[in-house]
Amino acid sequence: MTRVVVVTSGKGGVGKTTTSASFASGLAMRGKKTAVVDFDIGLRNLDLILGCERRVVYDFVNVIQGDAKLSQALVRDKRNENLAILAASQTKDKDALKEEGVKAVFDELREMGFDYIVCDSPAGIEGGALMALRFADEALVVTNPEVSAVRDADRMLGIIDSKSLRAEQGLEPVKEHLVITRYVPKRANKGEMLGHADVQELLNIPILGVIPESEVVLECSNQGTPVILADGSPAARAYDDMVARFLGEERPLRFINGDASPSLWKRLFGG
Amino acid sequence: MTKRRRRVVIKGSSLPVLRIVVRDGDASALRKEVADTIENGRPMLAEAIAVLDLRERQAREVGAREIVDAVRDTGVRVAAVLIGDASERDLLTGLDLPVIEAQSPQQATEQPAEPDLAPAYLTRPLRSGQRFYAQGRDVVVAAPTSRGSELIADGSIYAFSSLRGRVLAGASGNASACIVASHLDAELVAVAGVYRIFEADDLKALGSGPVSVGLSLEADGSERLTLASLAPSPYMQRR
Repeated sequence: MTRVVVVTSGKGGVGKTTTSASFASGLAMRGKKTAVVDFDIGLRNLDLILGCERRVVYDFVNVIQGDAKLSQALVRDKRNENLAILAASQTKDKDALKEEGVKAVFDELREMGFDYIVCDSPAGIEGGALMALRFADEALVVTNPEVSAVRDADRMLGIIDSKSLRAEQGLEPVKEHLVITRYVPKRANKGEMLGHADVQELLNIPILGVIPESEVVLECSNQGTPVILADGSPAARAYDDMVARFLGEERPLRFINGDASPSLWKRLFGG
Repeated sequence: MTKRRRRVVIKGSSLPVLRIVVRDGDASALRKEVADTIENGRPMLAEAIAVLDLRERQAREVGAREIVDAVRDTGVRVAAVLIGDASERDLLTGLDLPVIEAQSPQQATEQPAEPDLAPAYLTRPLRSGQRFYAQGRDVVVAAPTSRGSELIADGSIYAFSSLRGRVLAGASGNASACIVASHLDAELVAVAGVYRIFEADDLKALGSGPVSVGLSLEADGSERLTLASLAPSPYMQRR
């Protein structure tokens, strides 16, 4: 059965697209047939991050409007045949996404036997972001260890709880996972940024992954390679752990060392 | 000079007064419907005190005055009339009834006819931007509330979790309402309209353990919000 996973955050620039690319690649590497869909209509980026921008002929909006078949628009990843990319339109605006159209595309992806549909959400809480989470079974909520990103993530969790199809139909709620990116353990320990435990306490959903801040991320983006493929780098290993945990494996959190000293939260509120 | 206890104190209240919502204006049908309802095992309606809510009325052929008479004929004592439109005020002046003019609540049709007095139970986290209102009752909270959320109850709030954001008990004036939380880190706390806002460090003195909030009566009759740390129990300690 196909699972729909939305990667979302509320705030921009926290690493949704980077996480979507690595998450989808990671699932594909583990043999799951995965389609990753860019919902950021008008500001398409996912194809760049995955290094397939030159092969995008038709996009998501073309399929919804009936100008192209889904099979024509899906771009197969060069590195892994289990991964397919459906790019966003660069020319249309976000109003081109209609619920019936998105549903029809997802139904077709289900019929094609995909195990996972990963929805890369745009920032904000308007049309595109709502459409990305509409059909979700699970959600990866991406945040940085800073208060504004955490507040926006909290707001987004509230929207998932009220605006998703599962919430409206009273089905089992969307399963929510926390992904903390750009984490610098040293600074968290010094109280300069929120610790991962603080973020988790504020948002109250289980941590799926803590991705350390890394120079590799920028290099990978520029080269069009998902971070998870940057062998040996801590960020790549953290993303690999994240995918493994998502698929049910137990793995302890890495790259968070030095938890013993008091966190910002404890200092502020006397833990 | 000795402090003298005030003889008259003005306070808000929420008394058990029924609200009869009239949706159609036909007086004879209304008379029959109210009489039927009383006969069908709802004797509390006979001689009850009620506020007549005419704000959702569709047809306007029958005047508000005739409706008041129809309801009175069934034995219900009308204490006041709620209207949404100022033009009806003139029709009611001869009745010697207080007329309350108020905008019709958007979700008036969703409100249960009788208040459900069992406490509301909140099991999902209340997120930033979300509001939960326990109308006419207490609320038991089993999931944390976030900064930027609003938790409101007409009764008391009992939280087995962290309360952040705005927390308002006794929202319709119940001064005996209280807030008990296993951890309080709120931006604003209010009981019966008496509120306090907190900066980041203000609640530090209360520690991270359970806290109670209530109104206490000062010697001069004024009410003051009192926050107290409850004796730490090993079962309630946070990590």
